[in-house]
Amino acid sequence: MNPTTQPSAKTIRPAATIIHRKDGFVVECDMPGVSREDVQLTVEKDVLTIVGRRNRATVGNPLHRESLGGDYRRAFALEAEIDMTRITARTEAGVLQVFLPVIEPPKPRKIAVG
Amino acid sequence: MNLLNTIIPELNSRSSFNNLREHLNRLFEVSTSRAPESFGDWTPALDAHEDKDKYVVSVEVPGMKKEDISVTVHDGVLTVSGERKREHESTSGNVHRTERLYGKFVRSVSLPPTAKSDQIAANYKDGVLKIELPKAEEAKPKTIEVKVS
Repeated sequence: MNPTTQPSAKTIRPAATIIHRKDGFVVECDMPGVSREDVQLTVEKDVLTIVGRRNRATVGNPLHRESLGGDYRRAFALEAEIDMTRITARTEAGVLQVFLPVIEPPKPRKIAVG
Repeated sequence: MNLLNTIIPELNSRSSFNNLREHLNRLFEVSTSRAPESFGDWTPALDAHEDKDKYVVSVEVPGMKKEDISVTVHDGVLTVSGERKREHESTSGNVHRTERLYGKFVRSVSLPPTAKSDQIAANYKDGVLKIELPKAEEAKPKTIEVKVS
């Protein structure tokens, strides 16, 4: 078995903030040590899964350790009103921000009376 | 619409509740072990390691601005402090739930005498503050060549 393909022994549940905006929801997750290219977002069966892999290539001798080992992982069930095709995400300073837009209701159409 | 319950499915089932409790217990354990040296609102995780020519201290402080972090060395004690502010553009909505910590923090570490604090370098990337201190020459391991005759 190839050890690099094995999942980490533990995963960290990143602390999250959920914000309700007029146009959708914003989920912010603290994932220190994760770069943009190490974030994976998947939507499957109405579940959004966030995975952040962190590069722990620390060389040398550890003297003190408080950070939790493993990758970040968290799942959120999405409601039908969320437009899954328009989900966007970005990272900044170790914080992942995911925007979940709600499906816009069709605007009332004015029909001119001739 | 009950988004709070659906978006956080973990809270709905009983077994997940146990997971949450375990999670909180773990947090508690960590925070108590760190409590004596911190007096801020949150206590970011701190790691330290050394290699043959430097000491490296890493502090997990996601979502900060560089200018809100301060690094000082005084009498052989390295102190990292700062304040994480709630000023994301996204706060212009209703916060449903937050687990993330904000506010001031202070972490201090006693440096070994061999750390050259006059050559300290700090770098903030992906929410991790990394501080490097070169080791004094006498602290570096020396390789002695042994001649075999």
